[in-house]
Amino acid sequence: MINGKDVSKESTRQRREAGLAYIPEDRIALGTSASASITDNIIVDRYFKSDFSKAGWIRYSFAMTHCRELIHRFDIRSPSVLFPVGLLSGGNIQKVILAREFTSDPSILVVCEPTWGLDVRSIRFVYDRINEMKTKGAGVLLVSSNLDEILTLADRILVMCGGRVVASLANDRALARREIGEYMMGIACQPEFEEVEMSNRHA
Amino acid sequence: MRKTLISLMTVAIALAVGVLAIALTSSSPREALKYFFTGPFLNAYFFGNMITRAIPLILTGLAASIAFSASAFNLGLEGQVYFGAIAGTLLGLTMGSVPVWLTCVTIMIVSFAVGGGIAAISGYLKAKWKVNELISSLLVSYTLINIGDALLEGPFRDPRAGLAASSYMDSAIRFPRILMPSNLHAGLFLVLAIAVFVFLAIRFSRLGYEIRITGSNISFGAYAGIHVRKVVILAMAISGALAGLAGMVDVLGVHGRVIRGFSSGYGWNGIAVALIARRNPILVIPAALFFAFLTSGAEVSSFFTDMSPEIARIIQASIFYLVTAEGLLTFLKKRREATS
Repeated sequence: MINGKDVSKESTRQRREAGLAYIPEDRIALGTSASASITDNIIVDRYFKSDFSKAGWIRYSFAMTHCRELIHRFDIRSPSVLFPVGLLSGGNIQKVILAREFTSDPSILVVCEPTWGLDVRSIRFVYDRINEMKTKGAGVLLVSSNLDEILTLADRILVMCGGRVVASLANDRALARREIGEYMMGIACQPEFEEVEMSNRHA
Repeated sequence: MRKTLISLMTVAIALAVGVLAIALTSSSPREALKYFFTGPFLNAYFFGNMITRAIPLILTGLAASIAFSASAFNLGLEGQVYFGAIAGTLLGLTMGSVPVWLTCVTIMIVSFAVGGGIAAISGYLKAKWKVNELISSLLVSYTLINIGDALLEGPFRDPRAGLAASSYMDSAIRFPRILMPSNLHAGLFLVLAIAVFVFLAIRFSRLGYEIRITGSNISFGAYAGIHVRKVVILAMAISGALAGLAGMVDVLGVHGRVIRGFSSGYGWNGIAVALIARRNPILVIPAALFFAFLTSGAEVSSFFTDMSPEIARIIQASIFYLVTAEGLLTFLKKRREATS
């Protein structure tokens, strides 16, 4: 459901148009096309819109101006907007993905392992952008194995163990790392989720 | 830059193999080599015929390039060329009192559509049931070649002709000759225009963009919302359509009728042309000219010396080995990088 609309049977494009954005875990295999230029990577979710194309032809002058702006805004270090994404550093590749996914005006953002393998500066940058989206009112679903990252960014934490959600916790100061750890290890389980476990076993 | 160098190396090594083969087989290798390299430029006849040879190869080279750009392999070019030409010619023979230009345009459109339809079958099977398009296009193509041969031997054979061929189409339909006394015909301009258009379309059109993205990383295309299955079918269809047109242009420009097996090799050489040109539609033009030069050089040389015209095949085969080996190496390297 996105903005009250059921999208489970829609195509990927329709889901994106409905306001879904997704930053995948694997930024090389899924998030970008390494041999394509930065411009081609950024316009992939918008090239068909009227600003970007006219009578079946892509307006590259407009697209490149658009991408130059985004390169500046997202601090992507690259010699040009036509530079192949695969030759950029990991942090810059991730910023190209952010520049695309965060500027499509999403209402739901699914973000997977956004800082995996990045340097401290880039991590800081990614966190700032995610917080920015939060304040703009977008729903962010952060999927991460980095506990510090989750504690920094999340409002509410769902802990999963063995493929199931075992706890739902509010992220406040009182929350102890130890407590999350116990849920993660399967030592503890919140009662409302235990029910699910029991009924699953019977079935 | 490095890639261009590899392409040039491929060509140079293949030529060296050819020179070696000529030196070993000819009794007067110096003469044979001289005619092999200079022959196509000796006079307007040889030169015009060399360019004429390149015309269908440019189209099949473009056809292969487009499919490759979408990471689809259309190995059925041979059948699409042949059947496109047969369908168009048969229509041309039955269309009666219609203005000549209309007949000409119609039969080109029909050959375009028939070639495209044949290739679209393989594209559809791939999209729908993940049937490997490499195999399906190849098998469909072989079947169609045999059906085409049967048609030309049987129902559509001109009883007055000494070989298995259809009747001649009205000579007014055919493309005008532009370099007498050679076979060079006005289809050249059409083909060059198509090459430029394909180049622009792949770079700047919406479908071209979708083809490039799908070909460079299909998971990325699907993730971003491109209808990748549709793109693969379309790329195959356009590829087949250009192949069908290649056969028809050759018939309209050179033969005036379909002769059994007239297009044999157009498809395979088109694939080699696309590989040398690295899928770049503009570079397909010089690559096709180079292939035509090899065939023409060997032909001229065999006129004047005891050299066998099959030398051209040896050189083409070496090119084929080199480009496919290099393609395989790049592929393996990519896979190694992806898994490590």
